[in-house]
Parts: sequence; C-alpha cells; structure tokens
Amino acid sequence: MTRPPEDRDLRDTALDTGQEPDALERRLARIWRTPPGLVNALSTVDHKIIGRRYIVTAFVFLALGGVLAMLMRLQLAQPESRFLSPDLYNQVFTIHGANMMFLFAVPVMEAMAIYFVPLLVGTRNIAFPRLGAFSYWVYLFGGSMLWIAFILQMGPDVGWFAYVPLAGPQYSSGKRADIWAQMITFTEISALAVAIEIVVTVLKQRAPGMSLDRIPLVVWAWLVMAFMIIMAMPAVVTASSMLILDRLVGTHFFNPAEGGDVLLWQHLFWFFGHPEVYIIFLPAVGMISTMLPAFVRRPIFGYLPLVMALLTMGLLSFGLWVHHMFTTGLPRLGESFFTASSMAIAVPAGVQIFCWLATIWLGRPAFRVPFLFILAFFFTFVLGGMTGVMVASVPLDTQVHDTYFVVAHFHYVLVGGAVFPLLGAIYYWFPKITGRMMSERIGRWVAGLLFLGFNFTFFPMHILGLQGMTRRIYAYPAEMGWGGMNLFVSLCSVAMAAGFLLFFIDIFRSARHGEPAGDNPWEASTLEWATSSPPPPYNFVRIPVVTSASPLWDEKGSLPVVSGLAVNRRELLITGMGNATPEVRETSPQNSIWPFFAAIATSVMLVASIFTPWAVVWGAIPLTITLIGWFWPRGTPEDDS
Amino acid sequence: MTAASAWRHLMPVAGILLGPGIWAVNMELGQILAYPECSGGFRFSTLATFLGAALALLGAFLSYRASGFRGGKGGPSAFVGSVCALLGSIFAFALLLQGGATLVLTGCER
Repeated sequence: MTRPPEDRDLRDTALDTGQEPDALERRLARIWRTPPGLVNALSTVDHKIIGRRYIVTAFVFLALGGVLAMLMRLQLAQPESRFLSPDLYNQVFTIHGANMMFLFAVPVMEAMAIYFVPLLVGTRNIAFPRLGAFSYWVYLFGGSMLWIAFILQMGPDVGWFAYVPLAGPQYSSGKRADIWAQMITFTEISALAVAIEIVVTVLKQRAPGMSLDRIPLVVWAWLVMAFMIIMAMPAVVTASSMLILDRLVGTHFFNPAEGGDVLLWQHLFWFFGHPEVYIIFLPAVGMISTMLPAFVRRPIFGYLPLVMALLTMGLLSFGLWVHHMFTTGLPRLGESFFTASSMAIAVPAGVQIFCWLATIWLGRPAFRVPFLFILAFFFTFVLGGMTGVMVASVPLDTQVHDTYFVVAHFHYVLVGGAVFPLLGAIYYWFPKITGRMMSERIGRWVAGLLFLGFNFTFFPMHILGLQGMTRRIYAYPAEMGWGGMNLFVSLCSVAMAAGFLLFFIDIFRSARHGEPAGDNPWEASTLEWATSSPPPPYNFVRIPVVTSASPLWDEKGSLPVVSGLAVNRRELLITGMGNATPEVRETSPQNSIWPFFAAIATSVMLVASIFTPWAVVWGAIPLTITLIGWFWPRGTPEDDS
Repeated sequence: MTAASAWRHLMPVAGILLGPGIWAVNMELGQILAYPECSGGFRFSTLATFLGAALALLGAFLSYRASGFRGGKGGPSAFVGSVCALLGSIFAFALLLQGGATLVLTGCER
C-alpha cells in the first residue's frame, strides 16, 4: 500500500496549526515510544531505557563486589583467620577486582554516557541504538557468567590481571582462567560497541550551534573515554584470546619453553590496563566540571585548559603501562621513560584541580550533596595522585610493589577519583532520570559515612604496605604485628558499607516517594535540563539551537529551536564536526528484537568456546542468522527514507 | 586539496600530531636503544629525545600561530589551535623529562 505524499514526509511545522496545542508531542510520543509488554521491553532501542538498565545492573555488580570486599575484610580482621579457605579467598579477591573493574567501573561510566550524551548534546537518540541494546545484553550475560561460575565454585582465582604462567595451562587446570578470559571478551565487545555509539553521537549529532568550544565538559570527557576504549581494549581482547588459545588449542604464546614470552602478557594487559584507569577517571572529572557550575552559580573557570587536560591525560595514559612492570627486570633507561610520562601526567591533572578551585573561589558555593561529593573527591584524589607520583618512581615502587601500599593507592585513585564523583553525579542527575529528588538529609549521611569510612579504611593500608604486608595474602601470623591495624581497617570498612547501604535505601525510597523535581531543580545550564524530568521518549519536542557554552543561563527565555524535522518516522539531525552546522536529516532505527537474539547467539558461542574451539565455527551460524534478521529491511518509514 | 589548504588544515592540529606522535615513537626507542647503548657508542636516545622535544615545541608553536590567539580570533578553529598548542607543550615537557633520564642512565642498569 502506498502512503499519501503528505504522510510520507510529514514535518513538525505541519502540526503547528494551533488547533491542537499538544499534537506534536502526541505524534512524537507515538513514533518514539516503547510500547508495554515483554517483547517490546526486550526490543527497545531507547537510549534512556538502555542507559537506565545499564546503570542499575552496574550498581548491582557494585553491591555484589562490595559483599566480596567485606568477606575479605572479615578474613583479614584477625591473624591466622580460617573464615575463608585459601582457595575461596583466591576466588573472592579475583572476582572482586574483575567485577569492580570490568563489570562496574567501566560499564557504569559508559552507562551514564548512554543515558546522558544524547540529552546533553540535544538529540533524540544515540547513534546506532540497536548496537547499544546488543551491548547491554552482552554485558549482562557476560557478568552473569562470571557470577554463576563463582556460585558453582568455578570462579577465576588468578587475580584480576590473570598473569601467566599462573593463568596458563601449566599452573591453572580446570576452566577458571578461561572464564576470566571469556568474561573479558564479553565486556570488551559491549564496551567497544558503546564507544562507537558515543563517538558518532558526539561528533555528528550535536544540536546546531554546539561547536567544539561549546560542548559540555562531561561530553568531552566521554568522547575521550570512547576513543581510549577503541584504542586500548583491542590489546586485552588480543591477550585474553591468546590465553584461551594457549589453554584450549595448545598454542604457546606465553610459554617460554616453546619460544613464547610471559612478559608479552603483561605488556598487552597493561597497555589496556593503565588507560583503563583513565577510562574510568576521565568521565568522573568531566562530571565534576559539569556539576560544579550549578553549585557555585558561575561558568567553569578555564574551559579551554580543562579540555586540553582531558585530551592530554587520555593520550599520555597510553605511555604509562610499564610502571606496573618495574620489577620485571626491564632496562632502567626504558623504565625511566615511563616514569617521566607518569610524572608529566601530573601537570594536566594539576591544571584541572586549579581550574576547579578557581571556579569555587570565584563563585558562591551551595553545599548540596553533589557538591559534598566533589569536595570528598578533591581531598581523596589528591592523596591518591600523590602516592601515584611515589609509585611511578622506580626505587620506591620496587620497595612497595605488590604490597598493601599499592592497594591503598589504587583505591584512593579509583574510589576517590571515580566513585565519589559518580555518586555525586547520581545525586545530581537522579531527578532528571526519575523526576524525583533524592533526600538531602540522607545524602549528607551517605557522603559523611563514605568519606570517613573510606579514608579510615584505606589510609592505614599505606602503613600496612610499608610494614611489608603483601597483596592477596589470605592469612598472616600474629607475630607480624599487623593484627591491630587490620582489625581497625575491617571495623572502618563497616562504616563504608553502611554508607553504601544508606545510598541504596535512598535510591529506592526516592524513586517512589522523593520530592517532585521539576525540569531543572539545580538551575543548571546544560541542555538535559531543558526537557522534562524524566525526559519523554523523543527527548526534545524540537531540537534546540545552542548559542553559548551555558545555553540555559545565557538564553534567558526559551531556547531557539530547529523546525522542519519529520514526525512520521524517527528522524534526527546530523551536524558538522567542528561548528555543528546542520548537514542532513537522518532516520533513527525502530525497536528490534534482533539485537537481543544476536546477544544470545554471541553469548552461547563465547561460553561454548571455553570448552571447544569448534564452538566458534558452529556458533557463527546462528550469529550470522541473527545479524541477517537485524539488518533485513522491513519497509518501515525509517527504511524507506 | 592544494598544498596550501592542506597546510592550513594541519596547522591548528600540529601540536596534537607532532607532540604525541614523537613521544610515542620515543617511548619505543627508550625500550630498544637501551641494549645497544649499554655496549657503548653514540647516545642516540639523548639526541632523539631532545630533538623530539624541539619538534613537539615546534608543533605547539604552529598550533599557537594558527589559533590567532593574539589577534583575538574566536570560533572552533581558534579553540582547536589553542588546545593543541597547550597539549603539544606538555608533551614537549614529557620529552624533556625523558631527555633528563638519558643524561643520567647508561642503558646498562637493570
């Protein structure tokens, strides 16, 4: 059946007759909505629904990882403890690390990007939204595989970085190391898929007028993060694939007896592993830069140096990996080059700190909960950064390598540098996601408990490390004299756990009973606050036009908007990379169940390939079928256009 | 695209092309050159590092020129030029730190 021409290209301007004031909203809602029902829930490509699922799943993994951390602290609270067996302890610390890095920290930063990048740049959906849906299911199945393996006593026990030869076929029989390696494949597939979406959305779907010097800083941070994922992740996928080949097929990539090289593993792993720290950290600092102006009532100080700092740290982070390998016997001259780069990265990090301090100094701070988390970040991250400069020095690192000093350092960097800003961001953006405010009173308790609990838990670990307590140790004799401080650390970790528990209670309570937030409760300046809370399926009734870096502050009345987009199909605006001048109208795909099926086919293939290499061959057939279904034209208005 | 227009497009991003590019190559040279330099002879790593720092600074300067910073030029191209000028300077600083290391280490230390 042929549609009439006016229906084939129905524009928003045609609905501006004034007879029905909300005709455009109703039309857009019909085109962009996700209908109710299980199949539709599995088929949705709405970036907000996928982003919300991603965020919730990541926080579930955070809670599970936190339970493992508490088990470890129970074990270490007193000398000679037999609470956990050595085998179980090995699994617990491995899964705690792998879970926190691969299933919480990286995915949650991407999840926030999936939800907020389209809103912050003023578009209606993320680029390649079906890829986003596929990415979420792969992430969920991969994470589930790791935890199911743990429940079945098959959890990896080789540390979160699975060093060979320990993780190789000579020393790790069974399938535990393979599960670690395949979990990497799952999470890297999903991470790469999201990274590609973010890059294209930021570079080609920004609202008209949002030139490079007007992009919100958190979007810059997510853009740098996405490029880093694209450049760093292939190294670890290569490494984990080589490990599986060594274990399953009998290759000898890491077997020195047959011409392989164990250090190759460390090079490949840390070429990914060190940038990963910045993959987690950069979005967090971007969040700080975007939240801060709302709480000091002035634009950010030093937009240009802050963008420079993000780009510089993203690039320099690729030249730091050998500082994880200072005790492997590499030539000191080569190591010193990595020390130099590790010291140099303190310059852009310091530039950021001074820009934020200047912003606060010149503004009128309002000590709301997100701002408290920003202050907690300053204190904690600066301490973690300083111990980072210490362990970047070869002589000191040689002394404290593989001790609790390093454990303290990286928790200061990761929790102080990423988790505190993230929690602040949750308090900041929760009203946009749910339409309700989180509790200010409970939030202050959460911030206080986490800040004090964290510092009292992890600061003493520096001292324990200097006293010689090694990482991954499952029990220690009373004569070592570490018992008192370990008991203190374990008791303080309870305060930290209480903080997280209170945070989750606040989330559940506020989602149902929180104060209604309104569109812009913080009176912030960026575009996501220009739409309703929670946003409608189409994000914006009309795509806004951006005239400054703080559009909601500088455009006192309503924002100028674009008109002329089609409303008979999902359509968005493609703009230029530099000036964001409009280039072309482009369709956005409809919901589809095929990404879900493709994720199932991928997951079955990856899990089966732990047991037989032929799974890759036979698994490719159903995967190909799902991809054909995914891309098959269906005669929808989106396909026709 | 003519040579002149290619040059006009490359100038603002010279800082981000030259600085990180040379720095990345120099990181690899640092791993490779330690072995031949330990056995004596010309200290190529010192020359490469300081030459690299100079080139990174040149890239930063070209970006600065293209940014039109002094002329008060605005817009995305000026922004890109300014960001790349600052970025190139930091990579020059990283290369200078590496150069310092080549002056005190012989390549034989393990």
